[in-house]
Amino acid sequence: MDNNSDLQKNILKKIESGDVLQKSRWYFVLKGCAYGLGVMLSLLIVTFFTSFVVFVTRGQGLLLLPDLGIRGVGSLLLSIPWILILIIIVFIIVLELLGRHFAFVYRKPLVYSILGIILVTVFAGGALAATPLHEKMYDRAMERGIPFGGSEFYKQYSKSEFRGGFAGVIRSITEEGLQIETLSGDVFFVSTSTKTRYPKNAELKEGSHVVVLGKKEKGGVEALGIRTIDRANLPHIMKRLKDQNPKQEERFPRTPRGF
Amino acid sequence: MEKSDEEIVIAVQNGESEAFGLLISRYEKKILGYGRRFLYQYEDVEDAVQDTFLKAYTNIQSFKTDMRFSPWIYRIAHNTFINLIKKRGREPLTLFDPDTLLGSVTAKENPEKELLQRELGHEVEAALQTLPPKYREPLILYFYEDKDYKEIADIMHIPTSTVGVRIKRGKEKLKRHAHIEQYGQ
Repeated sequence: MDNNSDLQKNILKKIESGDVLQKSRWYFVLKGCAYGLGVMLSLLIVTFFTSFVVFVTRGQGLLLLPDLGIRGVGSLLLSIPWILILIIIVFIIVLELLGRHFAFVYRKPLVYSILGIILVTVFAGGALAATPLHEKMYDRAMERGIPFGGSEFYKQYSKSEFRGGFAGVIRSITEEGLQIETLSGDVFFVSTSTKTRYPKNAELKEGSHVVVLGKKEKGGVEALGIRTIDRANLPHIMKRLKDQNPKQEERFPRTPRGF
Repeated sequence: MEKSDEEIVIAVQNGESEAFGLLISRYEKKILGYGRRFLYQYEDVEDAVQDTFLKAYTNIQSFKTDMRFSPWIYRIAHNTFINLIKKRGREPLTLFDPDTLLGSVTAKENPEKELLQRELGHEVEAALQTLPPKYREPLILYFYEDKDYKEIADIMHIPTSTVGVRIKRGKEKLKRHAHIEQYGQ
């Protein structure tokens, strides 16, 4: 008798003696469900964070910074919430690894499947960002609070100050410059000069929402660029800054955080 | 009329364990051949093949009857063999292979397969053992096990175009090896 027959005999003997048992069909059904759940959960997380990044970068006026030139682009790159983007990248990798179990994913080169996941992420994240979900969550975080650290999460990422500048509303205009109130309620003195860029040539008036790029100087900010924000396209976060002057306290001049 | 592999699997799934013997008799020579060529320098090939069939039996309920049995059992054999290589630690296995990134448009299936198959003699089989596992395995599956690129992709879970790239590079390495053997340079 040859070796191959011995092999067959050994295997059948182990099966007959009960040493080797079939795993139940339910085991595979549950495994499949857990797997599907993992994919769904990763997709939801990646979509949520992508839409949140869109919400906060738009809300902080970061997307307008490139209009202020190379310094604006630099400030944008420094102010993007990189930790959130890193989380998105990690979950894209998780999705790719989970997807490798499916023939339509592993049969294609890695670049194609990664690009596919990025496209899905961008579209799903963009679609979610277009809904009022984050606006409602943000309002709730500011007013009633969101459990499990949700409020802190929304507050942390929706500050109106960023690296190299801030967003706010003009409260008063003087010959020396502008008094601008930020979302956190701080009022800064912003001096302007001939070097200050005004990309849209929009008229600066009291109540205008602006993004200011500037450099720190004694007791205030020297504006390198000021970009007005169209009232029609005002991001939700900035809507909390009413264009009417509230009870103003003498809190300026100060230097904004983030510089 | 002879039952298909998939019909036998359904019988095993429904409790006819002895029918599994039929599947073993149909595949043991193929899997042993694949194992002996792929794990040429390894002494426990028979054990690895036995493990392959035992794993197939244990996981038989995960087999979907709209699938083909052959790539399924070869996939289990591939995993078992790769685990053995990892366990022995004699040959390096890379976690990430840049070949899987883009693939290549020139890596199409070769229409001259039969001609090349005839050229594969004992010397080539021995030379195969000089190749790293990532080139050795697709060459064995393609030329000896008669699998096409899509089936190899399913067995190894790599892009179809990467199968082509690896076969092409593997053949080039074999030719270089043969040239060195013949001319000593």
